[in-house]
Amino acid sequence: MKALISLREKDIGWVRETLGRFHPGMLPIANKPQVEYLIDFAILNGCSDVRIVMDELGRDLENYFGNGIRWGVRISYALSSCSDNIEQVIEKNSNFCADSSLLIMDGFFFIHYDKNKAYDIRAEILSQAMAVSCESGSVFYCSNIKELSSMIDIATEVDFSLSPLNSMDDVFQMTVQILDAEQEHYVLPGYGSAKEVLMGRNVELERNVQIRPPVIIGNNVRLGKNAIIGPHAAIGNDSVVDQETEVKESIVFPKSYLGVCLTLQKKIICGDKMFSVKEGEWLEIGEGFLLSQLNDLRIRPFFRKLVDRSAAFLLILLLFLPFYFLRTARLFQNDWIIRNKKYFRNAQGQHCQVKEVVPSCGTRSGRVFEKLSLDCFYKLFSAAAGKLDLVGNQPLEVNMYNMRRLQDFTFYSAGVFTYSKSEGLVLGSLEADITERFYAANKSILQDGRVLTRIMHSRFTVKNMEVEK
Amino acid sequence: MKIEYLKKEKIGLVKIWGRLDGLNADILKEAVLAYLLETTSILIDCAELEYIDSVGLGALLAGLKKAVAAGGDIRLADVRPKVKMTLEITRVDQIFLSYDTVGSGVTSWI
Repeated sequence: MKALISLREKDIGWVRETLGRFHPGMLPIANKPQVEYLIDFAILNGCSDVRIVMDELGRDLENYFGNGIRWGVRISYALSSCSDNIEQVIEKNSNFCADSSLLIMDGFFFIHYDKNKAYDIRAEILSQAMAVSCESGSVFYCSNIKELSSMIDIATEVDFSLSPLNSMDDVFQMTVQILDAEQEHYVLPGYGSAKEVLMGRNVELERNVQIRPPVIIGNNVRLGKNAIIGPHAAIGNDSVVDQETEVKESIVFPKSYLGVCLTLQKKIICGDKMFSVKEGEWLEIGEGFLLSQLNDLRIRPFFRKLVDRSAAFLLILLLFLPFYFLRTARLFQNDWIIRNKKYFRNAQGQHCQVKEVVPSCGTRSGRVFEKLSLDCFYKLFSAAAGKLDLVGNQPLEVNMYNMRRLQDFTFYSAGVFTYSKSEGLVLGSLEADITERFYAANKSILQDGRVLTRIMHSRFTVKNMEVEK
Repeated sequence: MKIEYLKKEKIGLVKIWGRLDGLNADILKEAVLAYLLETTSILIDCAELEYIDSVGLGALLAGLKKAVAAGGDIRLADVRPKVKMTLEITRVDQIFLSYDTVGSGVTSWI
């Protein structure tokens, strides 16, 4: 038997309009793409070949499923026209469909099946085409295309059923239903560390995270201090739930950042968009520190370090002459004190010694010195040596208090130029803390460039005030 | 953003049109602080409030703090779903009393 999955715009268009981020076939339901459930069902029916027919190219879908080797089937892809009906789709794929009984899945729906049951007996009992339908699609069994015109409905005779996927509300209900009662029916991603808790690879939990089953958590997820996940929560791959946030009866799509101290109940989060199941409305949150789309968390460290070190080296060359000129002027005005300090470099507790120029006592040369960011000159050498980031978090002095703070700050990476300074925030304030965490979680070369530009600009417009801790 | 103020007996009715965000939150904050000099019971009609961000929330909270310190309160009425969503996720809905209609909001003070 062969399987043909038909995904047509008339059925999946609402997903594109609403989310647009990915191919609708990749819409996660309990952290697993919708199409993957169909492929699993095809495999249970004894299919060794699967063809996915789409109106538009689905690069992310094709990249994910590839040639099907991970599932032990051969997966191929084809395009159809928007106006084609299912008979025309089959006819256009006649080479694939010939000489084999077919399992056709046409539309956009969820199949409720049980992986522990046998479904591969259909081929033996096929005497005419049989169908199971819902309002957004159908599953057909047939031997050839001619049988489609005289199909019989077998919904009451089979042990699987379909549920339509016409709205985000349907997606929500399906996810909750799977988490509640159907986890055992499907191959779901993750490992069962406890009953009704599925966790992916590389999940980081900070202090006092509460997991309330049933819950499914994807790969590379970070859960902040005192976060509460569940019940009935699905956290997608590569997402971050920051500290004190509660996610209950909600779905978080992959690569989403949830900020500090939020409460989500009956919500679907897709990057910076939030859908309320209760209100039936979408809201785009304009503030990244509440909700945002995360860039690919697999930052290529080597490349980023190379850019950082090169930029630091360039800044050293650029600022070398003004530094020594103004240093001489400050020495002459008795406004020059150097100190050595030890700072934590990263969340793992590695530290480095850095030379610092004590802030000016108000001399003209001191003011010009600080306006040109020359107070960071010595730190640039640490950045060029790779010990500090060029743009990063406010360096934390090595002491017990900061060591405890690091335990809750997974993304911490000390920088020469800091995120909170770029926003003109008072250091040590709640806003500065939130900003530091948000930017650290969203770190990228482009962001760092913007932050650096903002700092340079702000040096000439706003005087930053430091709060000594 | 447009703000309208009307005093009905001892209750100040404030109606907001448009968006309450970083660009105009200060205007509302100043206005509410001025209204609080006349009455410490303020009901904000949010029927035409399309959007609120964290700066807007901060302005409301600043007003609430002042009102509570003077023995009064600021309450919300007829909050739109999208604004309600922002209030919910930031937990500000637990701080403000909110009513479905202006009428029920006014009645709450009686």
